[in-house]
Amino acid sequence: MKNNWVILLFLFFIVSSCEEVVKVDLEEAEKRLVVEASIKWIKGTDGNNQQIKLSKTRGFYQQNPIPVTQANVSISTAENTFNFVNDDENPGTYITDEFEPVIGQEYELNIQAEGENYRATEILKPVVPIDSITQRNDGGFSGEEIEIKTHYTDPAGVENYYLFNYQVSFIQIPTLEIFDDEFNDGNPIFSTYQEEDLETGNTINIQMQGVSQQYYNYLNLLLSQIGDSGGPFQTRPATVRGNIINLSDENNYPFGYFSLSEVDTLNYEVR
Amino acid sequence: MVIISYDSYTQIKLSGKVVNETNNTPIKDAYLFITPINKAIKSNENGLFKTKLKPGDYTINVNYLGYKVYKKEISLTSNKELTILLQPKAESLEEVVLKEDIERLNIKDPQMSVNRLTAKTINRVPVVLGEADVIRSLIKLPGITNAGEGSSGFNVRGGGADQNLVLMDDATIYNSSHLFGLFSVFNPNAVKNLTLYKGGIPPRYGGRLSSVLDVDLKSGDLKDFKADANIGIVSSKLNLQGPIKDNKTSFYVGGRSSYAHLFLKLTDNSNSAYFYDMNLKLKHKFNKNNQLYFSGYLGRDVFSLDKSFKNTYGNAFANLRWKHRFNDNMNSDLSFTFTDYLYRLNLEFVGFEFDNGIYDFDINYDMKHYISSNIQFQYGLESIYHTFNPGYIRPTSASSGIEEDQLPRKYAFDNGAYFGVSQDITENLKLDYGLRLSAFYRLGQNEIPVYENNNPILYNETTNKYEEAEPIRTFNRSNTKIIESFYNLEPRISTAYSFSENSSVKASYNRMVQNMHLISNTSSPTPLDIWTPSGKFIKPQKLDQFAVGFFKELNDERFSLEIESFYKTIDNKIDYVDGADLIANDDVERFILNGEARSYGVEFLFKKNKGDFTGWLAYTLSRSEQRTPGRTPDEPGIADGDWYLANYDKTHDLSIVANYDWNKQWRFNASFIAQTGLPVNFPVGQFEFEGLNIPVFKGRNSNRLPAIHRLDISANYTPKKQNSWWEASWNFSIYNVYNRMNAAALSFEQNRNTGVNEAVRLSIFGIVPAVSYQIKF
Repeated sequence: MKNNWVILLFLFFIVSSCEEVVKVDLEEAEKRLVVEASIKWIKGTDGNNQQIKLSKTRGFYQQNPIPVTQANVSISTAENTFNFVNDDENPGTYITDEFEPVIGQEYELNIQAEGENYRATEILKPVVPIDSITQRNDGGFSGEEIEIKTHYTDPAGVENYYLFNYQVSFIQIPTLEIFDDEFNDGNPIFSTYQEEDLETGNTINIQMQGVSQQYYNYLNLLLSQIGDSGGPFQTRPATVRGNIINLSDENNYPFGYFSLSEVDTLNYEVR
Repeated sequence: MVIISYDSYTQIKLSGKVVNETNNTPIKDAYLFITPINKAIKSNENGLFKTKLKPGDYTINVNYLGYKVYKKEISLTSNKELTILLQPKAESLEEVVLKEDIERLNIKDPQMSVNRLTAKTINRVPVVLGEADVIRSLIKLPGITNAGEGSSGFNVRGGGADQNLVLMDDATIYNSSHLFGLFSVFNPNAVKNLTLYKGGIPPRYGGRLSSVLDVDLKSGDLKDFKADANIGIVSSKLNLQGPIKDNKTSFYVGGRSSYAHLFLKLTDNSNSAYFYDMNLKLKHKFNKNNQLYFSGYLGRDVFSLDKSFKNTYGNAFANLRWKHRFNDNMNSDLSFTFTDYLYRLNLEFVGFEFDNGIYDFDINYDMKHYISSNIQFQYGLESIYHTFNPGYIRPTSASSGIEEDQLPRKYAFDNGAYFGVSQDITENLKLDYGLRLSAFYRLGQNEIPVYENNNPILYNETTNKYEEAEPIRTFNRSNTKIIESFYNLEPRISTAYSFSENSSVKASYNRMVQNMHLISNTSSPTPLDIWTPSGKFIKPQKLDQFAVGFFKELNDERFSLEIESFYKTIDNKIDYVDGADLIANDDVERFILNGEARSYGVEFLFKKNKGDFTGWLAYTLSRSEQRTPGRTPDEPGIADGDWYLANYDKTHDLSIVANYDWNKQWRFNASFIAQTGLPVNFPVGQFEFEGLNIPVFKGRNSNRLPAIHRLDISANYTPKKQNSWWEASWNFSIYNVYNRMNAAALSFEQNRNTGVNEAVRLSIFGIVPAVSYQIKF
């Protein structure tokens, strides 16, 4: 009885702090073009099928996206130009089946949308293969979560940057993680994923992408915008600009990024 | 025939000494109240007093805590020397070492913008979990606030938490909180007295812009053993003091620890969050002219999550001090201090341990010199040798992919010399003025970077973003060589004009210079933040503060009113460009820009000092903002070079504290606060990228969190029937009585289950009741 009273008092304290969904009125700034041009060359495929999405920014609570459909989209190298065509079934998504990915090649993206011209350049970055996946069932911060590690070996002597994408069917949003090799150049290393509601039989889709330093910096900034925007520990939110420039009007810059990466992917079933 | 005439302007000198009758020790800060003219004078550090009066009959009254009332009638016709012998009272009250009057408004003293607290007041302000706390009591005074629940440090007059010089027995404390602001590093029972200067900072202090919190610790009762223990829900403390040799040597030892984490173990949860700290102080009196003190402190915070993550940090110091009295008019104070601030992160599941820290060696020499009854000099020197370890990382297992690395240590030599004068110009006009010279030397180190055109930060016109510049080369220089030096003069002046016995006007100006900069990308310091010294790319921050105030005691000192207004302006205030990545990124010059800051406001404090019902009402109206323009007209700087609110700006800050002594058994306290919410940024749109909804933000600090208000109450019960060995009492408290969920943070996020965007409010404490038990031997 005395013990219970003591525990009850303590639980009162930890239960005391809480998160609650609240209504906050928000204003909307002027709309901007959003370009999601992530060219991914999955290992073991020819990489000819690629897509680029164009849309406009919308209010924070507005769920339906606003596609931009009447644009001209193409990616070119010194020798070739690949034209992307608006997919009628997915307005705002521009597709091609003729793209030719080459590791280390520089590509230029050109877009004409709503009377303005946009351009970006990037290099196609390679990635090492995923070595293996290990799983433990006593991981995570609470010591009771299923935790998986994606093992890879970083190439020595080169600056490498990685983007990991973990997706599980019962969670609507993916988990993105980014890494550099500052403290582990040339060594075998791993990326960790844990999720409290993971159970045996769940399938996790894992993608490992090699990215440029510039894309790494962009993602770092972008991912820090997600989640808390207020409070004593939060870094101050910023307007994150990617590498795409509006040639017609410098100040009307678009959001999003143009990147090209080699990708290794696999589906892992939780034991 | 010689005619000797006394004209009515002749003044006769009355002087003497106030001593303890039983042991002849001088009594300082005793108020002599002279009737019928109602004049009050104070005895100095050596018990001496001096004043000038017209010839006539007077009564000298002295009522000093712990002593019987003294009354003597004198007839003044020529200069008189008087020794006032005070008889100690048979039973002494608690806190005999403290003076009750220390908190009372001093109408004539030019020192303004200062708050002094005794341990008694600190213990009477109800706080979370029933634990008294120094900083939580201070933030209920005007001009002092903090960034909310869960944040460490405090903000004074719109200044950042890194702009406060926090001293414990002369040692610099780099992180003043435990458990993210839940407790401060000061054990309230070990505190002898504390003084917080918000402005009009005396020349003997330097190194930070906004305030000085100077805490002196108890050195132990020279005659009797005493102990007190406090057992609370979350933490407990035990303090012991007494003589080692009667009237010669004494000690004070105190310790605190939290143990809430042990409850987690009961539920098979292997996480923990706890803190502990220990104080030890020794005092030895060689003779009446020489005293030696040793003070030591160790404090640690430990957070661990299942042994896969362990974070330890805290301050430690050792201080040796020699107080010497040359004669009745000259006292000196020489101290040596060694300080160690450590931050350690151990990530077992990745396989590394990361350390960073600061080590200081500090010598301080202060002299107080009474020239005459109207003039006093204070002068001295200070020298601190700083060593910074920005980061050391090592693998903790063979299979870890991490390589051992030591970021280059930094060294600096920080010196100050000051001279100050306290002068009584007339009976009613007093002036304190002085000058401090600071000389800061940045010393050599390894891997000093050299940038093209000396530009560590670049502006990319195509992407419209600031980017870090890569150094073109690095070089080494020995740490015995000076690579940068910064000399600054800091004038300080304050004045008080009393136009009656109980009202005065005060004004002050001070210039402060800060050479230690806290690199923090958040509104409130976290232990991850790194202190960096001034150098080639980071110039000293300079502040000018003007303050003006009106002070009045009402109704025979039952009430007091203080109204102060301040204006501060800062040059070389650095701020981070959007998206700076600070973790283990040592070359901070690559993502900071230079700007300016200013803050201004009005503070209002109304206190009831006497009676069963006491308390105060404090209100501050202020604004704190910054401006960081681009280096050229083509660059945007931050927020387009416009003024933006500082992260800790609070427009309105109201605190009401009330204490009621009902009878000998029961005592009640209540405190109410209401404040504007902190500035934040709300999203102004969203877009999708890589399957995530990304919020869009604009500007900096353009919105606010909802306003904060909260009521706390507590009751103290001392049972009538007491054991003859000890006195016990209970404290019952309720924090946040009406359970308002004050927003500590607002997140705009995507719900994982539905994928829909929503706003989530994080509150740290709802209603929290607590009980604690206190024993005094």
